[in-house]
Amino acid sequence: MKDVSITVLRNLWLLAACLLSSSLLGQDSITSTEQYFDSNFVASVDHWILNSTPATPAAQEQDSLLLRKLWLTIIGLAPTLEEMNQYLSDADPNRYHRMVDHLLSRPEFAEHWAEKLDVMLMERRANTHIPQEQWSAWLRSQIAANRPLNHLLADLLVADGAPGEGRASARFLLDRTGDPNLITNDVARIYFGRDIQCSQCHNHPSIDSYRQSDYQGLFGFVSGIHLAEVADGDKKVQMVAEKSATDSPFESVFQRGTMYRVLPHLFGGDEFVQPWSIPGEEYHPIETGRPARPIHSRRQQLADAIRMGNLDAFNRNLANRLWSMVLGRGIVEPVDLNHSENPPLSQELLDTLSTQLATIRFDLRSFVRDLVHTKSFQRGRFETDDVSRSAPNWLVTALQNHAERMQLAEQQSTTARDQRAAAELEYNNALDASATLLKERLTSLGNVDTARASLSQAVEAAKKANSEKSTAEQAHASAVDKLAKLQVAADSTAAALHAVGQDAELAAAVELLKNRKATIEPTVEPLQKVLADKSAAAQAALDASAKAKEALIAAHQVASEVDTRVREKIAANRQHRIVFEDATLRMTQAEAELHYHKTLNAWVESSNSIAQLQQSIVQNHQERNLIDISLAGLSSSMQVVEQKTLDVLASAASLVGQANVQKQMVESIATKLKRVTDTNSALAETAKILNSPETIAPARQTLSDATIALQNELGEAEKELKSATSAADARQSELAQLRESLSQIQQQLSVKEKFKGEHAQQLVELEEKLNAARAQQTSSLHSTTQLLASRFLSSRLRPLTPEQMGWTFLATTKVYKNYVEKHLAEIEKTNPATADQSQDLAFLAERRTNAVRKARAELQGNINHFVTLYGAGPGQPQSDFFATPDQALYANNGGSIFAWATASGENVTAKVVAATSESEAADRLYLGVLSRKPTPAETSAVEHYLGQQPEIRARLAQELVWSLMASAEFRFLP
Amino acid sequence: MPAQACGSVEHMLARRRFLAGTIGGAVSLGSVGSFAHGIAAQTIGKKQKKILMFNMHGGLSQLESWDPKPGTETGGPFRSIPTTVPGIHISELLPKTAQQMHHLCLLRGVNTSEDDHGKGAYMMLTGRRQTPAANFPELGAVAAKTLTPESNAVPGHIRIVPGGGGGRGNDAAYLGPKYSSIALGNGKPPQYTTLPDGIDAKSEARRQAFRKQTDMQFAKSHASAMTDAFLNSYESAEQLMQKRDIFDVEKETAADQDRYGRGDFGRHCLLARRLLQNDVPFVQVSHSNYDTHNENFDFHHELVPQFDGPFATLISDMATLGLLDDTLVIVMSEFGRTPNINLYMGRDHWSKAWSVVMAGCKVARGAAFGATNDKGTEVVDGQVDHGQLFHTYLQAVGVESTDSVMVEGREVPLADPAAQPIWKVLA
Repeated sequence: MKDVSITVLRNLWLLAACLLSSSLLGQDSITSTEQYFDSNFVASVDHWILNSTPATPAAQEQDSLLLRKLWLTIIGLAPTLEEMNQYLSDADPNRYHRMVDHLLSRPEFAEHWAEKLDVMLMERRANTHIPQEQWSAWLRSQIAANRPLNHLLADLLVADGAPGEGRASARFLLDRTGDPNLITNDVARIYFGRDIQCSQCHNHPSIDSYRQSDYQGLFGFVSGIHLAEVADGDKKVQMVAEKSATDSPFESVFQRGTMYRVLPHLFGGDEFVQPWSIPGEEYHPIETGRPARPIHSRRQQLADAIRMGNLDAFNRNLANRLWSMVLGRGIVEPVDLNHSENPPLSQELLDTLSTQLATIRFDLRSFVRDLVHTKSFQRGRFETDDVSRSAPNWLVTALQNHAERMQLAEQQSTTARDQRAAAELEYNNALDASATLLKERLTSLGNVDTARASLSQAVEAAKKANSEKSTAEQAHASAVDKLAKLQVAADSTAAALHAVGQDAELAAAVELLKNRKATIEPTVEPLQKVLADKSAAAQAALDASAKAKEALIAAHQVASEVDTRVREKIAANRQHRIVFEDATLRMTQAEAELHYHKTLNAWVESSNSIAQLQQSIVQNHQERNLIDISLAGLSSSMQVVEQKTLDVLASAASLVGQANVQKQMVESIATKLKRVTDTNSALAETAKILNSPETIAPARQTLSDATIALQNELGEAEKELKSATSAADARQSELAQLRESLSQIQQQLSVKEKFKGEHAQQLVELEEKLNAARAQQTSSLHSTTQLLASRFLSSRLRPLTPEQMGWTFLATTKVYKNYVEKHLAEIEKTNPATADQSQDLAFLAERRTNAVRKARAELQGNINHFVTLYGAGPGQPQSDFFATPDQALYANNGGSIFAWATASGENVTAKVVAATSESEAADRLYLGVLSRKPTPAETSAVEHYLGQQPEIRARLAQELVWSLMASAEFRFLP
Repeated sequence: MPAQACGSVEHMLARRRFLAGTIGGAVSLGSVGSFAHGIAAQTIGKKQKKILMFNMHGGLSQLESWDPKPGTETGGPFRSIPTTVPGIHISELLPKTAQQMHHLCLLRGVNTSEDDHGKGAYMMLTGRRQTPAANFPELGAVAAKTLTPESNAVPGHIRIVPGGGGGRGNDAAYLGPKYSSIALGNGKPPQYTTLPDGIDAKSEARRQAFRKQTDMQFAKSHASAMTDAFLNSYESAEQLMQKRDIFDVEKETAADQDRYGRGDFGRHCLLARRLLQNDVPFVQVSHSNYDTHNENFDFHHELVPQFDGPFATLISDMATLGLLDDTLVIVMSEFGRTPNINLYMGRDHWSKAWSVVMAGCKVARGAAFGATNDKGTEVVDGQVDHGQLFHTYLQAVGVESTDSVMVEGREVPLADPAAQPIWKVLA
């Protein structure tokens, strides 16, 4: 009690402080940040997130975008242009902290978080029994009063829906039609982060941790819940009633015939001891206007466990869900699939969060306050060089430093895998070994059921016998009474007769009375006998019921003894289960770690190989240049050789010609010589014949002379021929040499050409590889970005909820503020504040809260429309993003968004219209709608847009505001 | 084996791929310019299969329609008439439909054991019994999911509803809002497909150009499946506006409008034809209200002929146009009506022995499957239920009804795994 009131006081103080600080905006009244949040807790969260990773986190979001994120997170609205400018011009170094406290104190905090809790708890189910506004109002009042969330959630489980303020809290059960299986599914998911729906009829086929016995264990707490119609005045109302302890054997549909029984327990935890009551005494006396309440309520047991605040499974889930609401992603993600094969990013981090949540007594405001002070919340997006997309150097270094860690992860995953296999075997063996005991438990609880049924019957029989005994008693007593009265009457009449003397009428009366008595007298004995019989029967029935009661007590004793052993067995088995699940968890975490490193590595490697490939391509170009140069050299020398060859060929030809001429000359001389010689011989013959050599002698002399001359001439000619021939031969050999060198050059050329071809081919291959590496880089950059975001090192793209979007359209265009102001004025008009009151901060705050409520109630229809368009179906998970054409059609043609953007008063459109320069107009537009400054390109686009038709400037500004509100950037949180 | 079914990383990847697929498709469609052509291009050689469902709200009396029992104590005043199929007789209230009997297949042995309107309708539309712990998608959502490429820009699940209204239905359960129905209130085109007052083509072009430029810039630095899906929704919206005419029955010829009749139901039938001709995979047309606890015969005498003319014209047209080869037609209710005639000359809710009609695709033509006894109080042959019917609808359009789809990392069977298709009615 004391602690609770301290929390309340602390919050009241903070509320006052915030109001004060916001009213003294600009004055540096608080200097230490210690007062703003739990810096130890925040530091330990930041520390864990930083040390878990080789990656350097993204830088802090730019101030204006961070402010947008903060507003949307805490109060579900984005700041208007004025609010943005006011913040940006605030020089106080503590402005962020002060803003957080200001937002936490605004009425919209309860409004926004009531919407969030509503969606989390009801998933947009139909309001069958509780109107939405009644439920929302209850949630708001709980949040506004800083009700510890575990108390709030516990309330939902035990609410009976009796008329009054608290009836709304029964919506969780009522609008789930009081169906115990649906309640089990949703309590498992929403309260404990485990979607165990599949385990209703069998162990989960693929998730080892989700066991049918756990489903049944949770089911045991709520199985008695049912709806009952209870009279409330003259109308009948559905309320949540509970049957006393109801549970029954179950079997797995995979293994029909083997029945089990469990007592209520939570996810492998100890079974809760179940007190019991005698049949007929199970319920509290019926109260008017309330449904039946068992003395031993099992849902109350569950609610009490939650309320105690030390239920780990509950605390972790709640911490994880709140973290996810603020940070956009759970430490366990998806938030309702917590099991050893989908482990938390870090068990320590989750423990830190859940311990903190319990320490601050489940106070939503304080927890949100702490979370928005973490670096993870304040981070912007992880940015890379958009052009090169290369892994930065720090990452390369960091990964090298982490090589050891990766090796360790590799080892751990192998070790854990082996351990897991062994543990699974042991666990299964242990479960098998429990079979006998579980059968005993089935029997012992079965016997309890039988004994209970017998006792019920015996109690009924005793009641009946007792009532028969009473009837007999009455009959007997009435006969005896009649007799006695007749006797008295007879006696007094006889006395009267005696006194009066002879009187026929009196005598007749005496006779009549005697006769009457005589007719009744014989009936007394049988009645007495009946009475004796009935008394005996009643006694027997009473004895039987006492016996049955003893039997029940005995059966319970046996059962409780078996329960104790079962409990011990479960505890022993749990050790195996823990070992098994722990090994699974370590294995999965090590694998996740490896995956993370591999992804980062892949980025580095693809970046490296891109660099290498680019290098190779450059080298390829260089080499091809060199080849081209030498090719050019070769072909020019080939030309020279070719020319030379041609020349030699020509000169050789002329030499051969000359030689031929010479040869002919030689031949002709030789012919002449032969003829001369022949003639001379003939003359000699002739002289012999004639015997007158003298006559012939002169001729022969002449011929001899001619011969000699010719021989000389021939000798000369032959000499010349020889020389000519040798000259020609010389040319021939020169030619051969030239041909040789020509063919050499040609060979060289073809080698170089081939080389060139190879290089071209290589270039094609290199370019292909480069493209592949670039694709790899893009994909690993994408995975890296996602992984960094999933480790809270970078902000994560996430859609606005339908409510955030709707309210933000209204806030951006100042429709929201105008409505609040209008209602404030109306309240002031109907109920003017006194001078004292207008100095009273609490009074003013309450007034503002009322005005906000009225404004929102009036605008709610618009929001509902966005919920219809942008929200998922009832009972379906509400966190999945989807975009359908009907949403876009509404944004385009629905009219309302465009209408809200009409220039009016001081809204952003009006401010754009009134800007003195187009660059100021662009600044106002982007800061007012998207909470950031425009880029130069955007500024010039705005300039162009507004410049198209200056005469319809207001209209153009409205179109611009609409365009940005309908854009993707508006749809998502920064 | 680690649990992959619910494993988040795989789930994310699968989803990412799924969304990436959507975008890829849409981009290529965009470049083609017309999505109708785009679909045709994607399914070359394989025509778009479609389903046309007539939902006879309130519970059509099988005795005054498909399974008359004239001359018996339960038969009521109407006679039965011969049809184009020798041996098959139907109520005299359906003379025009009788002339189309050779296209139809009557299932006269339906027994769904559920006499509550809501629960009966749920079972007939989803093929499963309603449980508080789970919600199942309607046939239209399953058809839209299984019969169309992910990139389909036109909503695949259309309900033509009487009266006003419109917007997205809540009938896709875990398949997600992408497959929820779009209602065409009184046969009007989808909501918000025309420019609002005060925005002309010029300012529309201007503001959209600016929005697109902003979005392209954002998508460049924030590439993700979500941004892609967001941009794609605007593309689809734009295409829907361009293709708005396919939802506009007024664009049909006056002659056709006369043939179908100018009444609501006639107009809805003609619109259905128009949608099917434009390859919308699922169209539901409603006719109401058959919940005739009082004056059953008067009401059926009025309502059934309203249905008969347009329905017969549509079946005849579909046969002529070849639409019947690719379109499954279903005529169903949430249940039938009691053979017993009550004090108010009415018939009450009756799910034990009633009729459903199918036609087209692989469904046997000119056939009657199953039978009830003389008084129509019990099924004596060919008994089927909602689960079997649901399987059969899917098989008829070539979807393997025993398959599963991955939803949220869980495998979800398309139809109730406990039921089987009725192979006998599938040719």
